[in-house]
Amino acid sequence: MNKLSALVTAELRKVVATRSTWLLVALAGVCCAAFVTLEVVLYDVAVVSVYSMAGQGYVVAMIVGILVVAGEYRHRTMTWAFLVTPRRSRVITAKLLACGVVGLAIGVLAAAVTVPLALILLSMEDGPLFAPGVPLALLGTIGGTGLWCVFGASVAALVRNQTAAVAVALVWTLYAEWFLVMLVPAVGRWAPSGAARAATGWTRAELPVPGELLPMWAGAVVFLAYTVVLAALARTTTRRDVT
Amino acid sequence: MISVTALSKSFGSVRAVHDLTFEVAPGTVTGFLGPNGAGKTTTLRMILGLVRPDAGTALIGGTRYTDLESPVTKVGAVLESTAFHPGRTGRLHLETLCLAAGIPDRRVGEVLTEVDLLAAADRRVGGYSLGMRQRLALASALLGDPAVLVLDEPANGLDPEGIHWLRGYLRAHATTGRTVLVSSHTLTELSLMADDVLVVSEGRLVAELPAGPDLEDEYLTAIRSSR
Repeated sequence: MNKLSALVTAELRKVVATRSTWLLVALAGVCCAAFVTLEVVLYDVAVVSVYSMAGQGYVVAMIVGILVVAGEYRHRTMTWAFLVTPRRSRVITAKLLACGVVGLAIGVLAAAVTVPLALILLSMEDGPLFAPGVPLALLGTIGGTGLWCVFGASVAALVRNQTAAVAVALVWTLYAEWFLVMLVPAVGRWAPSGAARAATGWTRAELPVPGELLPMWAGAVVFLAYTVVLAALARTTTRRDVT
Repeated sequence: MISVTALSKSFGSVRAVHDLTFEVAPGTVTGFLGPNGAGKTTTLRMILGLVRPDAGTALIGGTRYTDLESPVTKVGAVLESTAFHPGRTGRLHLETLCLAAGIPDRRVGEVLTEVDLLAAADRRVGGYSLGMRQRLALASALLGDPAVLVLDEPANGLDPEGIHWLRGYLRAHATTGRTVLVSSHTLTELSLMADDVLVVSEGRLVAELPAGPDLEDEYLTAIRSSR
C-alpha cells in the first residue's frame, strides 16, 4: 500500500506546477486588498472586522479545491490516480489533505497582504490600529480559508463536472447564502458562509437588517462540521465506473 | 497471466460485455480484436479495476487488480491517449506517478529514454502530438517495470515509424516471458504485432485465431457466423 504522505506530496507537486493555481492565488490577494479597503473606506466598523477581511480569499481557495478534484475528472487523469491507488477513497483523502495544506497557505498569504494594508489604512483614520481580538480573528481567517479549499474539493468530488461544480459553488456561496446572511440572518448564520464568516471575527454591524452571526467559536465549529460531513460524503462517491 | 471468467457488464440497457471468458498466457502478445463498440475497452477497464463487472471475474496472476499490492509494478496500462493535464509537463506527470506509487525517481529518465521522449519531457503536454501522448502513456505504463501490459489501441496516432517501434517493443517484451494484451480495431496492425488474436463482437468472444496472413479471412468468417 502506497503511503498516504506520498500521495499527498504528489498532489501538492501537481498543484504547485499548475499555472492556474498561481493566477488564483494572486486573485486571492487582490480580493483581500479590495475588501479591506472597502471595509475601512465605506464603513465605520470594528477593528476586528477590518482584519477579518483576510478571509476574503475564501472563494478563491474553494475554486482551487474544486480544480484539484474536478480537473482530474475533466482531463481524465483520475484514471492514472486510480490505477496507482485502486482504493479510491484513499485518492480522495490524499486530495482533501493536500487541499487543506494549499488552503492554509492561501490563508497565510491572504493575511500577509491584509495585515499591512489594514495598518496603513487604519493609520489614516483616527481610530485604533489594533484590538485584542485581532490575532484570533486572523487565525480564524487562515483556518477558514484552509477549510474552504477542502470544502471545494469535496463539492467537486460529488459533482465531478468542473464547470458545474464551479458554477454551483459560486452561485450558492456568493448569492444564495450571502443573501441569507445579509437579509435573513436567523437562517444565514447557520449556512456554511455565515458560519465561516463568523469564525473570522466579522460582525454584521454594517448591514441594514439587524441580527447576529454565531459566536466566533460556534461559527468555527459549525463550518468545520459542514466540511467534515461533505468530505466524508466525498470519500464514499468513488464507486462509480471510470469510463 | 490474465484470466477472464464469465465476465459481464451492462450500461443501462446496453449490454457491453456478455459472459466473456479467455486467458492470456505469459510470453505472448495477445491481440484483442473487434469492431468499434464490441466491448474491448470495457473489458480492459474491468481487468484494471476501473469498471465494476456485473458478473464474473478478471484476475491477474490469480488476483483482482484492485487487490494487488502495488499494482503498477505488476500491471502497466495504456488507456486513453488524451488523459493528461495539458498544462503539466510529461516529466512532471511521470514524477508524480512515481511519487504516488513509491517507485524510484530514476525510472522517469529510463522510461523517457525507452519511449524516445526525453527531448520533449520538459514541455507541456498540451503541445504534444497524439503520437507523443501515446509514447508518454506507454512510458507511464512502463514506470513500474510490470510483467503484464494491457494496452488499449496503443497504435492510435503513432506514425509508421512509431508503430514499427511499438511492434518491436511489445515483441521483445513478450519474449522475456511477460504478458501483453493489446486491443485494436485494425486487423493488419494486430496480424503483424500479435501471436494470437481474440476476436470479440457484441461483447462475446467469437474466435481465438493465430495471427498470420490468413487473419483477415478467418476474422470475417468468425464475425459473420457469430451474427
